[in-house]
Amino acid sequence: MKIQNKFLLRKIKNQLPQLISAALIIAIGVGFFVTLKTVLYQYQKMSEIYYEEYSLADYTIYGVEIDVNDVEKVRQIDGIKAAEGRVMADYVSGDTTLRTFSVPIKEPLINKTYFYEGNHIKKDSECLLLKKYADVNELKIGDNIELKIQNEIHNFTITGLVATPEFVYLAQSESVPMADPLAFGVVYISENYFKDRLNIGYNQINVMLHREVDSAEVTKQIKESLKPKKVLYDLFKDQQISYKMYIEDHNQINSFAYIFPFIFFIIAAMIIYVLQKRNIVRERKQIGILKAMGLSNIKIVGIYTKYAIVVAVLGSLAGCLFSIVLGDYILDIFGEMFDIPELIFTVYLGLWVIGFIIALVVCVVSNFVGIKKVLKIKPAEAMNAEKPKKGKKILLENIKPLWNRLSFNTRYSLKTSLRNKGRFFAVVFGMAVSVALAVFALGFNDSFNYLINTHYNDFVKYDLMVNIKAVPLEREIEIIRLPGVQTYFKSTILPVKIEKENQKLDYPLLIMEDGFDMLNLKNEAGEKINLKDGIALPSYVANKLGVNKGDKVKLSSFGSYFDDIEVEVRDTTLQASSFYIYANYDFIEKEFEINNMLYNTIFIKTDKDVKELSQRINDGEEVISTTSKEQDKNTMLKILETMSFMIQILIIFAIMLGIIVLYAVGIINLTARSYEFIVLKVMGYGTIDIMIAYVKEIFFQIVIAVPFGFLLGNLILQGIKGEFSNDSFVLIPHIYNKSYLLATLLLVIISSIVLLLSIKTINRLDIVEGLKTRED
Amino acid sequence: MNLYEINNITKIYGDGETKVNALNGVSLNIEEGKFVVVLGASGSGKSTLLNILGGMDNATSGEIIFNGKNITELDQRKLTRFRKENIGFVFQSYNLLPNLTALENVEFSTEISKLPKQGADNALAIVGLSQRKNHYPAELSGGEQQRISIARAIAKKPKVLLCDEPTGALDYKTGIMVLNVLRDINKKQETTVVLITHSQDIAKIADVVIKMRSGQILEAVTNPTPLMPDEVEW
Ligand SMILES: Nc1ncnc2c1ncn2[C@@H]1O[C@H](COP(=O)(O)OP(=O)(O)O)[C@@H](O)[C@H]1O
Ligand SMILES: [Mg+2]
Repeated sequence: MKIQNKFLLRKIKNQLPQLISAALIIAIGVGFFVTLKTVLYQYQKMSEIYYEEYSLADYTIYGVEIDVNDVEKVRQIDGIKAAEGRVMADYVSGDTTLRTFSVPIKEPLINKTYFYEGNHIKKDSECLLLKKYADVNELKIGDNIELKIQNEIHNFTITGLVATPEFVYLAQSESVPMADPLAFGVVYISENYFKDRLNIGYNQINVMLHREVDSAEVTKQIKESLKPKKVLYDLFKDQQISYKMYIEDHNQINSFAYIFPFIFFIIAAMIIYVLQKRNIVRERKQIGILKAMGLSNIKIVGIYTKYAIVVAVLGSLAGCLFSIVLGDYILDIFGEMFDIPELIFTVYLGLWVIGFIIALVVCVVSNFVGIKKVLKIKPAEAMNAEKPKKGKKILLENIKPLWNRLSFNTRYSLKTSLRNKGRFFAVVFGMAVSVALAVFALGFNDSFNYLINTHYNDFVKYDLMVNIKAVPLEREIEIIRLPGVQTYFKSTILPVKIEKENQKLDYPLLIMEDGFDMLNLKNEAGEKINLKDGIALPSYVANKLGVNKGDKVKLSSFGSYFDDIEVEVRDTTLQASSFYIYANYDFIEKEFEINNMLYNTIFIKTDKDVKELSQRINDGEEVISTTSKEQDKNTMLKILETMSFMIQILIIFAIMLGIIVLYAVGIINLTARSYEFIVLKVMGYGTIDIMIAYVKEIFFQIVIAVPFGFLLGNLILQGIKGEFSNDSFVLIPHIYNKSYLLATLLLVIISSIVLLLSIKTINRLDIVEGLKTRED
Repeated sequence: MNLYEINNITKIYGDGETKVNALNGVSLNIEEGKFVVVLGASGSGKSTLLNILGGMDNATSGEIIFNGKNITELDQRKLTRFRKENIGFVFQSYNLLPNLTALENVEFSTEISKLPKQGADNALAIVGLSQRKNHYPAELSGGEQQRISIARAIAKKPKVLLCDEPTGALDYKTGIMVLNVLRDINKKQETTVVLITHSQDIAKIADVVIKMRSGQILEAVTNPTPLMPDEVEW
């Protein structure tokens, strides 16, 4: 082996702890990046394949009493690849709701089902059931399920357990984007059953479009062809809730995949910089000898660069291997959250290469910045021992009365810690980032928690929301007379599009009676919202549309209830979820000249058991479905729970990061000061005294680092909040004090561990050896 | 033939208040194959001169011809090459690389100069330390370390060996041993040796003694009867 390489290897051996620390941080950065990117690619690839192979509809149109001829007419339109009519309805099954779709016996062409188990239905008495629902409700192939349709119980035998691209997320509605499979599922029964037994016609048409068609034009033609039948609603693929959630998640993971590795790479770069800078100070003389012997600058830089390359290679290799374990774990959790068949971990070598290249660039560049002074070292000067640095005065020294009052130990601690600012701030930065990660992770959790709690405790005031068949406003229906119904309000909820200039959004319009108090609708000033002669919008929606109080917006309701109309936005509401457009009956009746208003929703408050009441309401003739506040809240809490794994991972990283940085820089500090410590020891200064000075230094660093960590953690949370806000809820950063406390405590514990580790090193300092080896 | 022709070189360190004139117009010729001793008190500019001769530093003004080639104005890269090909250094502090064994320290030098490695074993034999070649510097005495550093310097067969107080940190007996080695190399390999010392006695082994004071050469004396190192006492 070449001596140069031996030289390098011995250097590595001598500084193994520092090298491993730097490599570990690189490993975390690369590991995090490669894991998230792999998960993302795999998730994206498998979902795209899934959407493609199982033909998620490009476009869906909702109407009433659509028949085969209508579907045939649509199919004839240019640019349409396939069209299929379908029935969609929500039915109660026991105490759960099943979204029920019709399927042809010969299998559908659009929104196909993936079979985990079993086969397609052959008879009208058979059904396919969503596996996710079947699993938690302990249903198997061959079991029966009961559906309450038109107040009669209908039985179906399960022949297949399936998944569908429509329900990658078990999205029940905008307000329940991730339903609890214990309470909500999907079932497919035969088309003939609907037609022959129930006499129910299609209420939607799913459409696949040819690739390069003007979709706006085609959909216009579709609506045209269906006239005079009413179109209630239409959806493009990218508006479909489950698909929309998929895109959002994709962006969330992506933002994580960059932000965190970026932070880790900065820290790795810092450690390498500090380490190498220290190394060339230590090895100044050696470098002088090498130069005197005729080794060129390039060769010397080469030796140090190889050291950095070793860090990059070891770090990125470990990171990539680590990504296999972590990626597998994350995809497992994904499997519980999303229903994508065959979502398993695979290695993307291309990502490994990218990870390695990033690590290499980070290491080599930070190494070079650290050692660039090598170029300036003159062999003749390097041969002489470096002149001791003139001790610089620190700021505090000028405040004489204070400075003189400090003990020698404190003065010594302050002076040594500030002597090398690079190392001092490397530690401060490492600490700050540790705290920031912890604050961010805990704060992320807090914000969701806060959102859910304030939303369901302070904003949502009803216990049950009952969806009924539309009836005239004057008519009272049976269920309100059930015992346990304390107060109730009638209201009408209609799907509408709201439009301002070119921005169009879909939100339900909630028309309410005077005195409605089922939602705590307040504006920014904390007053009850004003609905006189206009509508109100959640401020999130108003911001998205770019409208202010007093502006006019266009409302359109898909042709069925009223014509497009301009209305004034009178107020905005403060709320984090459950977004509606608000109006009262007076305004709607006047503005739209409707005098036979129908209502389709009843909000109920109860003083009795919600579950029991909800079951009795479900038996009511007019009732389509009920949702309870409790149920919605639990669903949200459940989403939060599934996200908590991410928080745990981040906290673990924060701890690792803290320990590694403090330990690595700590060792560099100790070796740099070992001569000084030895001199102190010779003078009779004990390990304890040295430790006390060291503790003071770390305390000093913690005091500086913690506020920065808080700030940085908040900034990350602010930066990421956009990715986590969607049309179902807005994430408002809210960090509990206890999280700040916990993050600080974490840092103190990490620092103590590192301190304990360094006691050993200080104790081991050999006075005799130490005085001799000053030179290197 | 002259190995070095030095014409009126000066060296100024620093500027303003901290300005030091380390060399004040030094002119001198050094003949090939000679054992030259530079004698002077501490601070007289000996090391500065030696560093400039070795291409470790540039003179502020003046001219240095080495082996017929002007090396005065060479840039860092060319100076590095010049050192690699022509110069062997021995320092007062032995300056061995602590992480490498004796043999590896010597081999490193041949590796840098791209010479065959057996030169290293040979050089260790010349300094009489073949049997300690696998020891690390920390396991060797000062005299042994200095002989290793001489082996390192001569392994690449340099034209000239520049020694800055090589015995300064050694006791009398080991000092003699080191001087013997240098004298042998000078005589047997015909390597020119320039050795710095502040000791009048050591100067007695030289063919030529150059006396310096305050950055100037007082005189250059040819010694008709150089002593053997064993005959010197200090
Ligand atoms: N790098 C330097 N910067 C400033 N002054 C220097 C430097 N090196 C040497 N000197 C000064 O130059 C003079 C000659 O030094 P030097 O050649 O080392 O003397 P010697 O080797 O004879 O003891 C001394 O006064 C010394 O302080
Ligand atoms: Mg000197």
